[in-house]
Formats: sequence, structure tokens, C-alpha cells
Amino acid sequence: MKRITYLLLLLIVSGCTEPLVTPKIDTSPAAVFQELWNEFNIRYATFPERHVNWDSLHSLYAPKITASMPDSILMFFCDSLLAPLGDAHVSLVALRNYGYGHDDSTYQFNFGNVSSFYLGETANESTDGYIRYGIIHDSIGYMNVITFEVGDLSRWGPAIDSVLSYLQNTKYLIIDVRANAGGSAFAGETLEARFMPQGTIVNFTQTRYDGIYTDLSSPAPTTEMYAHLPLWQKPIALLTDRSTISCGEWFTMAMRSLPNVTVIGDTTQGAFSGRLDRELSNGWQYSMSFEKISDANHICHEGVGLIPDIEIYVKENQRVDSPDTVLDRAIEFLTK
Amino acid sequence: MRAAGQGFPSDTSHHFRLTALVGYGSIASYDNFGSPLPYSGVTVPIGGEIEYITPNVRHLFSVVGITSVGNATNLTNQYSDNATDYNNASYAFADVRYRFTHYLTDLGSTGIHLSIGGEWDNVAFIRGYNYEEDFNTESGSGEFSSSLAVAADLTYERENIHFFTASVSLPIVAFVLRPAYGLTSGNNYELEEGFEPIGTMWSWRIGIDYDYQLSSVLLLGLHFEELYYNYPMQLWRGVGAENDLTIAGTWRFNL
Repeated sequence: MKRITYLLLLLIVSGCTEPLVTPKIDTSPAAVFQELWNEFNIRYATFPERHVNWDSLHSLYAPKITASMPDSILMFFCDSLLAPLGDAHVSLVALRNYGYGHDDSTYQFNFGNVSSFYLGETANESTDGYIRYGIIHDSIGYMNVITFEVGDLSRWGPAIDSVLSYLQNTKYLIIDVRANAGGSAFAGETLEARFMPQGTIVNFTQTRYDGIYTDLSSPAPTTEMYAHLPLWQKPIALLTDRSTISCGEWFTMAMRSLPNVTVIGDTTQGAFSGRLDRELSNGWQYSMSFEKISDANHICHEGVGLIPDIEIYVKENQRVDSPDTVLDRAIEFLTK
Repeated sequence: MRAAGQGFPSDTSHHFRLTALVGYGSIASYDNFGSPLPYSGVTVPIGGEIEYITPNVRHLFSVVGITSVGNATNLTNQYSDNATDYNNASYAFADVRYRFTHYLTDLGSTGIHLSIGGEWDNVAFIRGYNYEEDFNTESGSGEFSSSLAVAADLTYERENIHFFTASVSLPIVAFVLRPAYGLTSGNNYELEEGFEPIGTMWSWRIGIDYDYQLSSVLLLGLHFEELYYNYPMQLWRGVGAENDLTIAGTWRFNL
């Protein structure tokens, strides 16, 4: 019996590491609010680009945080703190899920309309389901890249090649990244490799390295690591809207540098940074942009977005006769 | 002549001991660069040791790693409706060390022998925080440390078949290396490094071993070990603890 007791004692001892490392954690409303503000203060990379005075927001909200404040009210103030950033890579997962991207796009992309009114019986879907494609007027290839959040990257390249092979006899190509909310940079690069020469500088990345908003690391170039030959060199119309976000914008940023590419549609979201997910001491989660991304000309479009070459903006409640005004304009442009 | 370095009267000559370890463990971390919250998980430590024992000196070389089996723990995520088992903190841990102890004295007439010496310990402890079910946005942190410690062993033998060892080591200085704040896949992997002396950092290792002699060349034992460290550097603090309870099979041999 004594031996069993010793054995149990050892088992108990071997399972108790967490008390050794657990610090005193302050989850009071004031501490949580300050923690959230401070994490952004030392890491968020694009305050100047988003014209946000972070210190002023602290002065505005911090005095309002009280010790007896319920979580619902604390959440309201945390939400109020983050909302002015208007950043699609900023989120707060608390009692509710909050996102802070622009939502001012009035033209809602609808693939059902594209399929019904333009592609007809040629409408198809890639083997991995991430690209919908078809042929318009027998001469225009169309591919809608739904997302770059690709589950199996090993199938992604072959899926792209299968689509482009089907469209290879068309004269023009429309790549539709409207409502593409981003995903893996590697997935974007894999698609770019079918259009861009190896070594092309796509963008530059900088990260914060201290508490001063403008102190960023030296710009590090992102280049096309490889090209998948032969490159597609026929005219391309690239369709974007305000829901083209993150990696969708990286792809747009890369493609628009090509002479055979014309961007048509609405301005993109303007959220280029990598996304850093973290949590607060009370268990709430948040994400932030910790990088400043600039294009190959060192111009940062964070908060503004990429303005298309041909801007098509349909106002809210505006009556339109076409099922897809942007696509109509792209067809007109390519075949003029 | 007694093998005082090992402390067992039955160890009368130069010899080697080769030990395989497997067991159950617990690992925990608090790392304010990875998360403001501590996390812990169950581990399956697997390792091996080789000892070279002379009448006065014991050399120990040890390698222990934890497997990925059951070593991920769910993130706190207490207010999220979309928390899943994929939202977790996962660990990778490895420990490589060399220990040298020399017989010093007996503790009175208790039959307990005291040896002292030093230890060179190398630990890598990496954490991944998966908030999005998506390794593209997983953030991570961790540290590698290489420390020099003072070490002491107490050894006791009973009836020539029961062997007890209590060991402790206290690092005096540690070289610590870790990625900069905000490590995610896709981020640039800058490193921070520095030497941390005792007082700035705190660390210890304690061990309690029991071995039963099955034959003149085989021992079967139960070993408990605890490793703790607390390394501050710049704005961050990394605290790690690992407790292992292992079954040890030992083969004693001469070359």
C-alpha cells in the first residue's frame, strides 16, 4: 500500500507543471484594455497610412474603463478602440466576433449571374474547387479565383494548369478576383508564376521593431521565385472589388505590373499586411497587421487599396440593366 | 574499492551503463511573446542515457525529447463560438546534456554518498499557437538555451539490488536564443540572443531515480525529473517547466 501511495504521489507531482510557470495575471477591465492598446502600440505597422492617432484613442477611452465594468461594456470600448483602424486584418473575438474591414462596396459580385448570362454551358469548376471558369463569346477565357485559402497546395498548381489548358485557344483572358478574401501567399505566387517572369519584384515588406510608429525594418523584397513556362502573354483583364483582400491584393499588385494586364472594377480593400493572431489575458483573441507592404515602386496602398485602371463603381440602389457591369466593361475593353 | 563517483559499493570497476527511457510527462510554458496566458500539456518523453562510471567519477550524456502525442492543449478561447480542437498550443521539446560528478564525501554513517560536479544542458522548447485552424496564420515562440550548472548527486544502495539517486543542478549562466516577437509563418525570422546570469534568470533540474537490479547486467527503474527555467530578455519572459516520470531499462557493460 505504501508503495502504491508513493507511486501515486509521483504521478501527481509529474502532472503539476502549470503552477510552476503561471504568473499573476491581471484580468481587470483596465488591465485588459491597456494590454490591447499596448500590443497594438508596439506592433501595429500602419498607423500613419491609416491616419489613426493611437495615443488620442487611448486618451479618449482609457479613462472610461472602470473596475466594475462588465465584459459587454469592456468589449464595446475595445471595439471602439479598434474600429477607427478600418483594417480587414484586425479582428476581435470576444463575446461577439468583430471585423474592421471596409464595407463600402456597393456592387456585389455574383457568380451565378456570370454563369447564367455569360458562360452558359461552358461553366465549369477546377478539380480542387477553387477556380470556376468557362468561355465567353468563344474567344474570351474566364477564370474566377474564389480564394487563395487553398487546402491542398500540391493540387493547386495542376488545377491552375488544367484550367489554363482548357482556355488556351481563347484570344483573351479575364481573371476575376472579386470577393477573393486572400489566403496563402504561396498560392498567389503559384498562380502568378503562370504569367510573370522569374525574379520579378512583387512588393516590399517592413515590420515594426520598436515603440515608434515610423520605425520599420528595411524593406525586404518579395520576388517571383519561379516561372511556370510558357507564360500566358495574351491580353488579360483582372477584375477586382472592395472584397478583394490581402493575398487577393498581393496578386493584383503583382499582376498589374505586367503590360498585358488591365485592372477593371472597384478599388481593392487595402489590407496588405500579414496577420498576427494573439490573445488577451482574459482569453479574448484579436489579430493585427504587423507589416507594412509596399509595391515594387515603394508605394504603400494600405488603407487605400489598389485603384483599378478602369474604375466601375455602381452606387447603392443604382438601377443597372446588366447582370454584371464590370464583366461587361472587361469584355468591351478586350474586344474593342 | 567503492565506486564513490556513482556511489554504489557494487560498482567496483570502470564500466558503462546504457539506459532507455520512456514515460509520462507534463510540460508547461508561460511566454508573454507567444501568449499572455500559460499553457500546459501531457507529454510522452522518450530518451536515452549513457554513463561512464569510474570509482570516483560519473559521466552522463543524456538525450530526451517529447513526442507530439497528446502534447497540444486547447487555447483558452473562452469567449469564442468557433473554438475547435485545432485552436491549440502545440509543443516541441528536446534536451541534450552532459553531467559530470565526482565523489566528495559520505553523509555520516547513513550510507548516502555525496558527489558534486557540473552540467552542460542544452534545451530547445518551441511552441506554436494555432488561432485559425490554419498554419498560414499560426504564430509561434520558443527558446533555445545552453547553460552551465553546478550539480550534486546523492546516492544510496540497499541490499545490493535497490539503488536510489537524488540529483540537483543549478545553472549559473545560460546563453539564450529565441525568435523576435511576432513570429508567424510568413514573418521574417529574426533572432534575439544573450547571456543570462543566475539572478537574472532562474533555472533548476531535480531528479529522483530508483533502480532495481534484475541481474548483474540489467536494471529496471522508475525515474522522476523536473526541469524549470525562467529567462527574461528585453521585453519578454519565457518560463518553461517539464516533469517526466519514466520507466528506465539499463544495461550495464564493460568494453
